[in-house]
Amino acid sequence: MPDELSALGRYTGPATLVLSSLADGPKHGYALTKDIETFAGVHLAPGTLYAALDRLVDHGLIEGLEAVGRRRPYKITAVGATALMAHLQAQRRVTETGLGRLASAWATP
Amino acid sequence: MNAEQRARRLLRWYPRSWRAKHEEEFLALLEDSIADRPFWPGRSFNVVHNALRLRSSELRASRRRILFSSSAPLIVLVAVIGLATNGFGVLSASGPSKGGMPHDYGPGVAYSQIPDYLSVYIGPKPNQFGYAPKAYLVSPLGSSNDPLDGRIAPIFASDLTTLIGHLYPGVGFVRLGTSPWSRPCLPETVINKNAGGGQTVTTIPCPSTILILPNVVGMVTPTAVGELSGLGVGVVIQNVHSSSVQVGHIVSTSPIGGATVHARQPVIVDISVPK
Repeated sequence: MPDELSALGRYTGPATLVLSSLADGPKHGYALTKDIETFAGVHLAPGTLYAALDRLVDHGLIEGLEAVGRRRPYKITAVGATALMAHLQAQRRVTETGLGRLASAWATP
Repeated sequence: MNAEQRARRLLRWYPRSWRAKHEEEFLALLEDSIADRPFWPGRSFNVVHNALRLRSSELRASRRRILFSSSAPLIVLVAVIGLATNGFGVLSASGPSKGGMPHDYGPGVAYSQIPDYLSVYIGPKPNQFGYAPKAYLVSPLGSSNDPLDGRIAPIFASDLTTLIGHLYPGVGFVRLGTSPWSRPCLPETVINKNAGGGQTVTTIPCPSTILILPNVVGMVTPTAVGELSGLGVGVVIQNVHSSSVQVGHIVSTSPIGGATVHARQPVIVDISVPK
């Protein structure tokens, strides 16, 4: 199934993390880093984060809001929310299948 | 060297055009990051790596521009020939095509062709992304692997991959055959035994076809929709503004309560929504 996020190639991972983080409300760069660290245990380096933000803005999946002081919050768009949902649903099928097969084939008796 | 100086030094790796757009916010992020984790060599490497990547793609783009500008007259000529031979076909080329259907969901249909009752909003709560629920879907009783089987449901984003390949406001696809009245209605034979031992056979063109529509005006939407769809009519919800009916309650139905309707007949239910 073609999906917007996978089209981001090597940015798919960071993009998924960023969109997931923005799903509950706008955040600026550092807040994003912190949030992603909390829920995913991944520490996105600044260069990677901004590369992902640029891509996501270009694809219309997020948008930059008015800067608050020096920090600019980013907000997920409706298209972004849909793309994230589609991507996560596809991932969930993989996860569930993988876990299910592991459980049945590799379960300790 | 303090955090600000370190941040500025790293920023300089980025191309000028990028700095013009992101300078302050990126500096703020770097400073926060440095304050948080002063020693992290990976950060500098990461910033330099991404900055050089941007510079190299800018360089490639500028080379392409030079190439194009030198051959610009040729391109114009080709375009003119294209227009002359092709009418305005070049201009009427369709926009980017997005998304697609997962193969197991049958043919899709362009978003513009999606009937209004299948319009969606996105997010677990109404208005979360600024989309008020324009309509709800009442799914038909069908195969058991249809997750919306027989249920009334607003279409949530989580249903999108089930029902819909990709659906953006304006572009997308929806699976046909999910409206309650699109399924074939098979005749049903009813056999009534008479007291005398004989029997009468009645063929009803569509099972439980005829029913009296209850009056649901004033009811809260889920209750009303549940009642109507429980009877087998297709429920099409329209949002209307009402000054007299409380938000979330039924303003009117068409046909009105008490009317005789057929099962699977669409009944339009106007619900009151905030202005």
